[in-house]
Amino acid sequence: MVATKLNVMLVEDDDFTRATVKSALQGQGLNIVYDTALVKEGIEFAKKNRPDVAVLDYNLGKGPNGIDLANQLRKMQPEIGIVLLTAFLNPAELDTKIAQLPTGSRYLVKHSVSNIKVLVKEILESSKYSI
Amino acid sequence: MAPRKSSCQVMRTIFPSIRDKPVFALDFSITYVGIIFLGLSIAGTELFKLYPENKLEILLIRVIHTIFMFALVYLTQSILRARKVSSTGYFGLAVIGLWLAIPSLLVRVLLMEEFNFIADSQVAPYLTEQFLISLGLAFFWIPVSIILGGQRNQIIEAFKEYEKRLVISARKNIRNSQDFYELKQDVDQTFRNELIMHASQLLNSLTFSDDKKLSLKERNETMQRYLKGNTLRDFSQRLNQKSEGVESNSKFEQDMRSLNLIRKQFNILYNFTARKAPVPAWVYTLLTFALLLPNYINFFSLRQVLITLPALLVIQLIAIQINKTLRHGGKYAILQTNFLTLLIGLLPFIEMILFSTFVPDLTEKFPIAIIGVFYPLTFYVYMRFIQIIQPAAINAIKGDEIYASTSLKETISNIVKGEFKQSMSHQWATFIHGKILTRLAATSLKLEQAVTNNDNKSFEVGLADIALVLSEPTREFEQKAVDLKTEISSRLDPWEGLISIKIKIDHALADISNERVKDLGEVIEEIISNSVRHGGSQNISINITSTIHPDIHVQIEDDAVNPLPSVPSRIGLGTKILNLVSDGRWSISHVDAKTTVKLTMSLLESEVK
Repeated sequence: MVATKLNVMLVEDDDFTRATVKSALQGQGLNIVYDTALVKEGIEFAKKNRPDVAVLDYNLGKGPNGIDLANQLRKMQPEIGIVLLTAFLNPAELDTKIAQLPTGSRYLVKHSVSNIKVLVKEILESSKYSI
Repeated sequence: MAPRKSSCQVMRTIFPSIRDKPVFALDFSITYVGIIFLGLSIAGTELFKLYPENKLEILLIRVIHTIFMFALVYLTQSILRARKVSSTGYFGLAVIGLWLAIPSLLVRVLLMEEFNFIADSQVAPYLTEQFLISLGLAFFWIPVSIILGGQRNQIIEAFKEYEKRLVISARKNIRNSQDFYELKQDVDQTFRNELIMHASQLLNSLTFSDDKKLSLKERNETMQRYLKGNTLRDFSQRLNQKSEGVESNSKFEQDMRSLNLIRKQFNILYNFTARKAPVPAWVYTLLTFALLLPNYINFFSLRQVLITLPALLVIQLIAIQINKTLRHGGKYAILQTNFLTLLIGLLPFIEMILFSTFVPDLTEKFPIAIIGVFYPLTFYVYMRFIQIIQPAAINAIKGDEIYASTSLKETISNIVKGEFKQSMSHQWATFIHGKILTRLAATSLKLEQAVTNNDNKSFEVGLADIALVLSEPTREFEQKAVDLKTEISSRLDPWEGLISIKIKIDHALADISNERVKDLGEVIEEIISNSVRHGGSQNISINITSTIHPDIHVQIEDDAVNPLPSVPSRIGLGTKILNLVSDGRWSISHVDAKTTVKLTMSLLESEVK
């Protein structure tokens, strides 16, 4: 378990996945201050509460994807740490049309996520962007 | 005053009557091509008939003469441009013809003399003889090349428009065909089956390898091994890669595709126009005369010319028969007239054989390859070309009177099917990523957490969750039809907070609910995501209106700082989805700082089942 005061926001459109990831991260001592399936709610929360790190799924269903949201969050809050979860390696390698993640953001391929420590490490690393 | 008809609406005849005092645009682009063809034709006769022993010199003369003619045409163009002369009538064309043909003749004679093909004493008679050929060049070939050059854009545009209409109509027919419906079912079933297979494989591996007697840590290690190495991820990645295939779409490739389609469509186009507006009989006779004139002048005595002239009458009679047969129609009309056209082309050859049998002294012999093969085929191709550039053909093209050939339908059918498969691959890849892999990854976390906490119950719940995901992997892919308003909301609402979107939907359309509503949603999502991700748009407005049944019109306007080009330089999934849904009826335009995407799609048609 890590001892951290980081405030983490989680945006994942799939309820089952969101609940599971949230519970796993909380189990590791992370402070999940907000979780939502909706981009709009994520933006509103970030505007008011300025979380330290946003953990975002790349595929958020219809509409904007995790990179669109990451760019918006970084625009609003330049120091926010961002971890993007994806089933593929860097999605930009698969589709050159995909916009690049904001500087300092981190990709986490989902099959590495099974190791909860990897995820926590990435979250902590991403938060260093703000330092 | 009555409005004047635009030339785009009704195309005038390519060679209008002199009494109408027509004015032609001065375009020399085809004249350059004509110079090359003329050079090749003269070189052919000189190399194989007149001077077979002096091939190198003949080629050199041809090259020098062609370069001189190119320079002369270019100079003429420049002078006309400097004097701001951009059009002229028949008289002006004749003057330009003489201006080009006379120096051409003089240089030719000079070169022939210089290379010792004619002696000084022969120059005067040679000049007189060639002067007649030059008149043909000045008053016929050069004006024709300038007239065709001036109408080149109109002809090409008409063909491009024709291609577009054909493709739209063929796409629509294919999309509504039983064949395509079956393909959709088949593709969908194939993806489902493969997903079920990979999911069952993983579920079986997890179930059979789980040994409850082992510790949680050991059980988890086994589970993680299977979860990390499962084939579902490869399947999803494969589908994603399939959907990302792009094709280049440069101007050259567009033109080549156009040419290829026209080539496939040529016979239908020819058959249609030949039946509807066959070329007048005198064109066959005039073309023959124009093609043979240089030979008459170069090789024939007056007596020889006189005894061959009745052949022109025979040609006129055959041509009248061709015209009648085509107008009368009938199953074999095209076949018969093709044969008769070739026969006209072969007449000089037949004549040569007959004359060499009956009047050998008056026979002028030519190489069989030229008179028996090259000339008839050239004549046949010229006549087909003249037939399809008839105004009737262009007007029929514009009036959608011509149907697509089987070969064209096949090509378009393959394109449509390919687009559909790519679109489905993308949808399944996204689904597997979002609903299966994500859940498996999350459950892996749950198992790890259970091991850390030594929580047996949580571990079992995690395994049960995995079993649930894998036992019915396609369950959430079901696509229920929703009404238009709901579909559009589901696509636009998620963007709230990121950009501002204004939407206006025709009231009559809001409650429409059919299989095509989802397609419209896909298209709108594609356009918005492109506009935001690549154009950096912040404000988008969408207007959906009814148009002629069963079509609707969608107009999406944005303030992209980096707008998409009007013609994409590559054809990716986005372009393919737009083509598939709209049957190719979409466009991008830029006015001031606004980019507008316009799209028409058949929303109100019922799908074939």
